[in-house]
Amino acid sequence: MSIINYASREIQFKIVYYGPALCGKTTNLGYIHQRINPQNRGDLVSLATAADRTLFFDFLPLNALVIKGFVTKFQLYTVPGQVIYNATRQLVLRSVDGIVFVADSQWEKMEENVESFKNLEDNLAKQNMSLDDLPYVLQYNKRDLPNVAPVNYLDYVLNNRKKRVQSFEVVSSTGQNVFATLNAVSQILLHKFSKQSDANRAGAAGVKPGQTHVAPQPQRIVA
Amino acid sequence: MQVAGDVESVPAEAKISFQISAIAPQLASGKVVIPPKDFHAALPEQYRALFLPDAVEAPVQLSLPDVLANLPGDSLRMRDDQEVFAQDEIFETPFLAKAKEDAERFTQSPEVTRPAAPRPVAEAPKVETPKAELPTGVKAEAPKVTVSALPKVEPPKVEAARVQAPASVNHLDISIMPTTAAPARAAKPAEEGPKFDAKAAIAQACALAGVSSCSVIFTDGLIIAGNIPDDMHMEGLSAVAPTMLKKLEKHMCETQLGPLTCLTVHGEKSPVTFFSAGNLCLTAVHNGTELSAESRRELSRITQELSRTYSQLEAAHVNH
Repeated sequence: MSIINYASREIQFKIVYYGPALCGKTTNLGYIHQRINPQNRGDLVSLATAADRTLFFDFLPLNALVIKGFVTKFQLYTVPGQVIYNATRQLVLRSVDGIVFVADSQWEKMEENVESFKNLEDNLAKQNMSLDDLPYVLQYNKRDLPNVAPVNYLDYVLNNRKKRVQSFEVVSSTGQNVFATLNAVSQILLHKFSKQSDANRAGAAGVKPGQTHVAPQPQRIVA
Repeated sequence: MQVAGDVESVPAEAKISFQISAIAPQLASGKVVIPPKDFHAALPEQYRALFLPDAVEAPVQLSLPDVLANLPGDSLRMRDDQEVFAQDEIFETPFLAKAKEDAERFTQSPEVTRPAAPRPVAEAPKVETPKAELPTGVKAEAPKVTVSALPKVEPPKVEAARVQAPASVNHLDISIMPTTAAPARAAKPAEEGPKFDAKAAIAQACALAGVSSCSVIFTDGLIIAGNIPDDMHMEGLSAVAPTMLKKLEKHMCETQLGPLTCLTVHGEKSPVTFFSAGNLCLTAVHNGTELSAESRRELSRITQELSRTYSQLEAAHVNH
């Protein structure tokens, strides 16, 4: 549910990095923060422990581009991966527009990946949302480690759904494909927004007989 | 499984087989386990006496790499009706520019080998077929998968069978190299078991005057025990408490007030007090009244003792 401010011609997308504990979600945001021009981003707000485990969430605001006359902004969030913080994850997922699911590629993390993915589905369902309708991509992280599962198995475990999404082999510690992942999810979001914007315009002009009317997705609108 | 003999006597090329029907449905869950009785029954007769199911009857977890290496070629087949998102327009975002920059940078640096270009995943899924080096005596016509396996004896590794032979069709063979009889999933870190554990601490703390409920949390936010009612939603507050205490402790040292003993936060309904020592923190919810000096002293002592008890176990809980 993107936030559209017609007064200031701004649109804001919320992207959440989701995944099991210690899979590299915060490392993703850290790398993005480090590489984006400070003029185009805010501070990375992160509450982590001494052992680098995220408490609550990380937050990184980014200003991106102008599309259809709107200044587009992205807000990146991570969730705490530890199983016990489900309430926090549900909170962070509220009004999410797009998701990057970060999977840990190591063999011994497969079960945790599956559990976390299922947890994501459950938490979205509690907010009447579904991965079938929500833009998301998969990130197979830590591909530089020696004990990683092959991509076809990760796809089988996480991407064997009706909607097949893009997946990326990533080394977030070096930044490899971190931006490719973010770009992919943002492209889908922009595409969706662009289509809706066109549909809204067509709707305003009146739907001609025989023409399919595309119902706009719910959006939070700030006047 | 318990080892009941000399597993060194099991030859490296020994195999164990399972029906693919027992394995395939579990593949998507990220782990494959076999009930101990089935595992035992699948062992070749001459080695069966070496491994006995234990009282816990913990399932034997097979090593995923071994299982996958021995699966029939089409076991990881993706569903046929998948739809792929098609995008007709590319938006020039700063992320796109950075992604291109990074792609160039990583292509130029040869030391980064594995990560490939992003896979827009439109092509049909590749299913790698393990090189089939059929074990002697296994006929290819039978729909079986073969994995190598015998539980290794050194506890407490949770791997199971090492897969050596590839699958034919319907049965999974695992070589009977001693791997691990799967012990219970979460092995308790200390053999002797802490004399004073978190549960005992909670019981002691709650018996003190002024305390209604408690929890014990590691500094990384992992709660290890507690009886604070769920509807109080104390998890978040408890999780930040160690960080707050640490920061306060640092500044207390700069004052003449003496070392920090605890931190009390007053809510409208009830106060809550946090005690910290070493790598953990104790949260004590009051029963509406202030804690007496005696209760505070005792809670502080309990926290210290818990900290000593769990000081060596910290590493064990991190990767849960």
